[in-house]
Amino acid sequence: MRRRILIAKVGLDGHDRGAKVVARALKNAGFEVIYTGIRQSPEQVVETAIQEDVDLIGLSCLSGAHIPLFSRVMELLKEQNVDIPVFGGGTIPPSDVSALKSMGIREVFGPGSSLKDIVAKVKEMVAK
Amino acid sequence: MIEEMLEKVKDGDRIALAKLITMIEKDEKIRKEVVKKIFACPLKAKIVCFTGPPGVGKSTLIDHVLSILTEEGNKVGVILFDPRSPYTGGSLLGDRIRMQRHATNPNVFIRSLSCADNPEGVSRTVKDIIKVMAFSGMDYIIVETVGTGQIAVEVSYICHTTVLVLMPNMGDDIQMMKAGILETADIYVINKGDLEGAELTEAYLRDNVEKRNGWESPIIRTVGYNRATVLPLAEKIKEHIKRESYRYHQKIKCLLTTMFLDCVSNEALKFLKNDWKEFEEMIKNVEECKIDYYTATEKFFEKFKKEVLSK
Repeated sequence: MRRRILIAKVGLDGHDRGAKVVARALKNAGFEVIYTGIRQSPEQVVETAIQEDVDLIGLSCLSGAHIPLFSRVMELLKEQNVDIPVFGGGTIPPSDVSALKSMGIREVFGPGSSLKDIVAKVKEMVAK
Repeated sequence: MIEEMLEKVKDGDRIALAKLITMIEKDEKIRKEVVKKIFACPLKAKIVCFTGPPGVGKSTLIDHVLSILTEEGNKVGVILFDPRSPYTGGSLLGDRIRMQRHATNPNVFIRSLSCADNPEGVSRTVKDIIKVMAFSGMDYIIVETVGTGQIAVEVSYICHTTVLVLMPNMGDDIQMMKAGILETADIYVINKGDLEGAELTEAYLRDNVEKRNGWESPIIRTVGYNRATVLPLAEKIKEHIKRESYRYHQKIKCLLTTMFLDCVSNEALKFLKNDWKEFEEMIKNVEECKIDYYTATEKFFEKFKKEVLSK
């Protein structure tokens, strides 16, 4: 069964190279990838995830505002009562990873993450 | 369970609609069950198809049309197709990126789908998905095909109105004289109309567009970043739908017949492959060039009539 993944860039940040590279790697790994483009609000991301009925959401953020933005996404998902796993990536300091994980983000991929690793972890996350 | 879901979809539950579309796409049994339940429901949705080569601006134009239609109070469903990789089965669905400003509009529902199995630029399940979207109370349903060039005529049977989007410098007048998609569109758009060459493309097109059923297909020049240029397109779509409604009946009749014949031939092939041993042997003989496929077909029917039909 083809799995669907939403790759979304939240917040006011135009650095989309990373999101695009990850989207392409996931496409090549056989996933159906929906890419939202840059400068999305958490509301847009969650509504898109619902309409597209995705199995996983990947959030990318390089602006430094990952904590408030990601937590708003998690909040909205809970509000809408949809249970979709979320992972994150971007320029995220290692010291923030535990905060993100404690709000329910499954995995965090910072600078230097390998695509092989990301694809493997994504496969695990959608298998659950 | 299906009934409960359909009830929710009818009440406008977006999560239920999204889930049901996934189920229809992935599970043939559910698809059949759903169609059996809703096939005769009268639906008010008008269906508009955007087709044309990759990169001409179909999604961008849909974005403007969405704004115009929803400002008038319409509910609009959008189905977007992008190709699926024949190598990995993966796909990058990147049409909705052009219309993300409508993501949180409660009167818009956008769904991206991948398409691999159909040269027509829409998946084979699209008719059933349209049906379910219409069932959820949409006033309009917009379908965007995979970027396609010369064929993809089938979509014009599904839709009230087919919009063919082109752009400047896409070839000379010979290209415009060709059969296929260029004949079947109800509205022609030359997007990126501010680029050099737009005038000539329009002239080539104008020379070759012919009146059909009393409708002179308009040619509209648009510029993707300028909403004002898209207003005439929205007007023409509405005008055409109004004219087309009575003819749509006839179209749907043809479509339903085609669907039926398609299903019968699919099931018949499945039956033959699974339940008639000799059929397998015939396939083998054709594969190994022991017999040509025309003769094999004749022989097959002789045998079929004698052994199956006479029983």
